[in-house]
Amino acid sequence: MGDQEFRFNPKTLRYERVRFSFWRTLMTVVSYSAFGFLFFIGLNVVQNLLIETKLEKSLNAENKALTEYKAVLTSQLSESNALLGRLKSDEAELNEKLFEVPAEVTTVEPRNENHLVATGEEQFNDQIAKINHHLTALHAKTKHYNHFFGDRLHVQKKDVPILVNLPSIAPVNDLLADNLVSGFGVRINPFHKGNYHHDGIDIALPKGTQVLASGNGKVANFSMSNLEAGFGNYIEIDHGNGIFTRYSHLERISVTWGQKIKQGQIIGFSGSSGGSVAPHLHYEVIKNGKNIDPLSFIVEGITPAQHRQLALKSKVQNQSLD
Amino acid sequence: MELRYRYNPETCRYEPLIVSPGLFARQIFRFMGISFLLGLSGVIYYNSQYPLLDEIQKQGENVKLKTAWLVIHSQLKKTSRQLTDLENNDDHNFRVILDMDPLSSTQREAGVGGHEKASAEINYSIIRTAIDFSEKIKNRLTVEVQSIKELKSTLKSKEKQWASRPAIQPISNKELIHLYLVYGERLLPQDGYSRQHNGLDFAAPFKSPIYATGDGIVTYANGGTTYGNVVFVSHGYGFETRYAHMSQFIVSVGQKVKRGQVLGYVGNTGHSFGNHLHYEVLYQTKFVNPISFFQRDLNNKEYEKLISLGRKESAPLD
Repeated sequence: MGDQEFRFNPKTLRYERVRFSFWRTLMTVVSYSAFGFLFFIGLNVVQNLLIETKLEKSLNAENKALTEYKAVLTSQLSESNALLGRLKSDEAELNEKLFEVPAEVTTVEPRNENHLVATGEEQFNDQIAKINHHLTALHAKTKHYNHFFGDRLHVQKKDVPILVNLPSIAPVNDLLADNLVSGFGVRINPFHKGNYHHDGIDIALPKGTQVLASGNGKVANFSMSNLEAGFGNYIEIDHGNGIFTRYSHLERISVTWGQKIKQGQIIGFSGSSGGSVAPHLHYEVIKNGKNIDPLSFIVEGITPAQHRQLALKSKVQNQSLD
Repeated sequence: MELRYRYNPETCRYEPLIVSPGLFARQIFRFMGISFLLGLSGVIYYNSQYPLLDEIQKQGENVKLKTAWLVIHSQLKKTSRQLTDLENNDDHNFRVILDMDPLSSTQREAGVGGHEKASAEINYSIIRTAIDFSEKIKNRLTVEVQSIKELKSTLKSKEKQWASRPAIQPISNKELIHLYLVYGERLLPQDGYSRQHNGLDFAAPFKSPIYATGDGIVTYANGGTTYGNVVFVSHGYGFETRYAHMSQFIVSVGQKVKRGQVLGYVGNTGHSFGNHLHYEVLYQTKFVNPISFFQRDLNNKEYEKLISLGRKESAPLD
């Protein structure tokens, strides 16, 4: 009992035992907490400033490396880009010399698709209305074309043999827009640089590439010539119904007169014979004695996107290879 | 502060509690100790639950840096893509057309292995990848520069070849009265002997200009009894052209001529009956039909343009 505390009450003139006081306890708790909190802050500061944890160390090192190498990489990148720019102008120069037209822009920059989000509600609604309008127009167009093609796709029995023999594939494996270097129409002649009508398409091919028959038919004509003019070594295939195809500037011919040809059969190997400045295949389609754009015949073994690319490429008014 | 008392059973009195310095110090020490322990436990608990403040800060910095790094990486990718386009154009277009072998992928990525070793000491994969990528692009660029150089020199020689080939009419359509397609026809033996006609005849008014049909060197310019005043032009690559029955030639042997340059003027010299040009083309010393070596769908305007081009280019060579 010796540690019991008393206090003197002047009103009652007695010593009274000090009882549990809420306020006193609260004060004690608050003061302990306050000092505890101060210690907490102090310890934290000490730890943050003085002690380096493992994670901190690794982060520091990584950040340092990132900053350091960022400078290195940025300078390398700008160097590379400068070099690339020079190469591109060289490429354009080569293109201009080979095709008499500057290189078309092949890289399509990604469109900024976030710009709609950033605009206000009014513009957004505007855009939506535009898209709606566009969709309606497209819908009408689709309907029209559906009707159009529906009419034409209705194949009759008498059309079958004609359709079967149409030269409907590309005369080479894997015809890419990259390979198609000159299309049908007025082009620049590579020898005298004047304009002339280019009656077929030019497909750039390494010497000795397989050339395929684009449709079923019969070899109507072939000719070998070592003269550096004209078609050089060429093959003509009769597909019936007045449709002929001609494959010119070949290196080697592997068919004979009158031979029956299946679609996709190897008929020869490409080269640069005759009046040609570079190894390529000059491919023509002749209907009733008139040359027509061969691209409009190539429909099999090719996706619509590829065909579209080819069509775009063939429209370039460049220099042909023969 | 009011005084506190303690009951002392020995003296049977209430004695006031006096806070001695020692006791005070002990009390303070106890208070501080407990506070410190509280604070410490708070720190330990806090750190076990939440990351350190400066760690958070460093982490933030790290994220920022990594984002910037990603941006650079995407720029590298863009550069690489453009380079790939260029390489494809080079391989699939230029090299095919110029009859050169496309570069293999090992050729294109030559020397990449050596640089990977240089970056091996970097511990961070994100940095290593980007540095390697950049080095790879640099190497590919070096190869491409070399390749373009090669292409340019090949194109130069090819251009010379293309410019050398006879490819235009020696007489402009404007002056041309008639083109006699008489190649290979047997001439009537009016003179007592018969001979093959080895060229084409361009009937044109007296003194119409005769143009060189391709770049070349004049190898012969002289008068004679059959050809009359005649000029031979050697174009190289197996081609030779001959222009006969001129009234006058204005070039001399050994002179370099450009396509479209005037060689002389139409006349009626030698074995000729009327003003015309007799034009022959030889390929590898054999006569060939000149009709294959010009396009007749060139209109006057285009032809004028070609000729003026030849004239302009020939000026510094004269």
